[in-house]
Amino acid sequence: MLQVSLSEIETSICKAVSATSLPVSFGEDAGRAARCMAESGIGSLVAFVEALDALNNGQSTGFNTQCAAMGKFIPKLDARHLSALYAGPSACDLLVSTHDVGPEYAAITLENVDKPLIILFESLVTSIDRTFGLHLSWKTQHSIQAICWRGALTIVEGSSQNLCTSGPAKMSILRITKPPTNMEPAWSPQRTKKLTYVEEEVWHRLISYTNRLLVDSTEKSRLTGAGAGITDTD
Amino acid sequence: MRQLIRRMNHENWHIKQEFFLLNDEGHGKALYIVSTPKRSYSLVCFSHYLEPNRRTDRVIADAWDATFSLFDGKPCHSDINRLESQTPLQEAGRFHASELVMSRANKSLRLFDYVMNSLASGTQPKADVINEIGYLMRTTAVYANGKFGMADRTNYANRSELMQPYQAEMLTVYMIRKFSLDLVEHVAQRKNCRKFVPLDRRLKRHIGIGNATGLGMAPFLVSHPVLIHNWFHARETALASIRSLEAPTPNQANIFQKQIKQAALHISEWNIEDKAYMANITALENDVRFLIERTSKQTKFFEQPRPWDTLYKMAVDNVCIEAQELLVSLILEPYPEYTDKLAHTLHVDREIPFDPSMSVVEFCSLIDHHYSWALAVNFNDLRQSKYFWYYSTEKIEPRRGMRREEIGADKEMQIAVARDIQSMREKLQSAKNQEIMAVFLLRHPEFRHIVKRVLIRAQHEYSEIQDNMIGEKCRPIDILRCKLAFFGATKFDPKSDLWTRVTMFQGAPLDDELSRDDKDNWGFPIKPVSKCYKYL
Repeated sequence: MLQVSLSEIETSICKAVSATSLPVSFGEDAGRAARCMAESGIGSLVAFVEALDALNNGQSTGFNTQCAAMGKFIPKLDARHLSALYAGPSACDLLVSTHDVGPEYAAITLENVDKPLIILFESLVTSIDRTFGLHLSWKTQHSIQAICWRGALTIVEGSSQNLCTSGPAKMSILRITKPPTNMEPAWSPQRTKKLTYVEEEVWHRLISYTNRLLVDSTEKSRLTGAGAGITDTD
Repeated sequence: MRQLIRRMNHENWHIKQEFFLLNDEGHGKALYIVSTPKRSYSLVCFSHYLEPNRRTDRVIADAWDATFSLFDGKPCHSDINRLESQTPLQEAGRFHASELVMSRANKSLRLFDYVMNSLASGTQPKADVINEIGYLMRTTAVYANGKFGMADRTNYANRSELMQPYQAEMLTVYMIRKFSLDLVEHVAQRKNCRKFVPLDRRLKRHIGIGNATGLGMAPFLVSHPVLIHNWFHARETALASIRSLEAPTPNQANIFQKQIKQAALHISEWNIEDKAYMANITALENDVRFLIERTSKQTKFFEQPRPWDTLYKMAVDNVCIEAQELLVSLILEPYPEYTDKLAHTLHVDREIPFDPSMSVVEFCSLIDHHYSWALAVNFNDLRQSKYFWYYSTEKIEPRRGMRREEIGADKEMQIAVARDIQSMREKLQSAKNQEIMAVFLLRHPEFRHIVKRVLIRAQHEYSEIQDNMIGEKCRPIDILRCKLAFFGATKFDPKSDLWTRVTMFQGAPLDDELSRDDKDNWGFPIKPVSKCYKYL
């Protein structure tokens, strides 16, 4: 196992998502979600790496924008899963948008989501510093209901282990105005883990994505870079 | 830097050399313990032989004269053994959450050898030679915040001594300065213990620690808009408060008059090779003279109402931008009570929640209002998109390439704010006015990072560097200098448009002087035995 910092997790996921041609801000959101997940000690980075693999090999795809505008996220290509990395940020954007025109986005559905866990943690990050919460539910082998309220995660149905069960799954997300009562959060930001360990094989798979953003040096770049040609004899 | 020194003074920090196991050439390891009221930190130092042809400031270097780790607490033997195997590797090493900062430094051979030989022969080095370079060692990178497995900043951001941005890094750099001073005396003594004399305290104090900074800092500032807003906002808030004052006390006026004269002397001792920047320094010196004359005691300048405001306006109308910026610093000097209370506003403790519920028409008006500078750039002119920024395979550091001549533009970093603002503004023309931005972004997620920026800008007026980062005229050196100036770095010595050397902690109290009353009087360091300046 490799000890990694939360910052490394966040930046590596961000770069890896950007490297799969997703918008940079989707990478940023995924990075924050992965960091939050690592802080919580719930779940595993494997979910993110598998989501990257699914996008990379075409198993997962983006969403139909017309349906999404109606609050229904479905894969834009038939027989594909809906990429959580792709759909999560946009679904959260709709949920947090309070407005007095157009359709009301108090409820969102997402069909055939490849990694519900990613959307859960993106929702959890989204819920920080809001006056409302998000209620998520989905079913794979187990039924899951969870509430994200000001950065704290409460599992209403299922267990922490169940959360990690892979998709695909149909998810619903509701905006709620009252916090969960009489239930202890499964995790809240005050209980942040200080040390994070990742399996080396998983980390290397992740880094193989981030490396796609790197540009090899050329003779020209070496000659024109900062400090090129200087050997310090001063 | 001065914030750290003030804290060290107020809290009576102590620094102890735990061991200094270096051979005659100065190679080996050393450990310093910094004791603060609540906890200890340690600088673990490794000094190495370095082939002369491998000594370079460039980030791509893989060997250095010395490497360092700032350890959280006191390391045990196994920690030191572990760091001995990892710290010299720098970016290629792996670290633990017990390490807060990692750094490395190379000697300024010219000054190091000169000072060492002087001391070994029983004489003190000349102040002029020390002043010319200003440091014995120069750091070429200072890493923290979770890089390479080190502690995340969140692990220690709630500690009062490290809460403000970059305090752990500044502590490391201050300690490296101490190591460099101890090192030169050690080698000199070993070379000739009979004739050796320790370095004169005043000369010692005038030796700072160098730093070479390259491009990486520029994208950092673009991607941390709230942080840079906080820094500028604190400065502007303090300045506005002071400008509104009716009158300074005689003591406050005296502090200003003394400091501006010291600043003038400091500038007169600042010499660099770059001709264009040297011309700026000369112009700055002339303009500071003008300000000294206008505010001297004979002019009774401070007897008029709101003299700080008058002075500021006079500077805007009469002196170069460098002198205006210097004046702002000098105006703040007599009023630590205005600046210190803003220290807690410098850091960013939370993300700004993203709320794309604004309508397209409202959002467009925000762009038009806040981004006229970006909309004015003519991207049909290829010179405006001459460059692209990317991460290099070598050390995964940001670099800038020429878009039409080098490979890699398809992997461009997303920091071309002006270009992206224009592209988005154009797409918004075809969106429905009342559509909310969240829906617009369903179709155009490629602009989501720009929407975030615009919303941040709407609440943070100093969050944008109003320059076209990919344009031919963009000079990254100015961006680097901005950040380094906030650290308190002095003696900027640009080596091109892409990188600069600076001096840090020059004139700062030595570790055994931290309790002195004049601990804060080193903002504009001057040679210990300086020529008599006519304005002093």
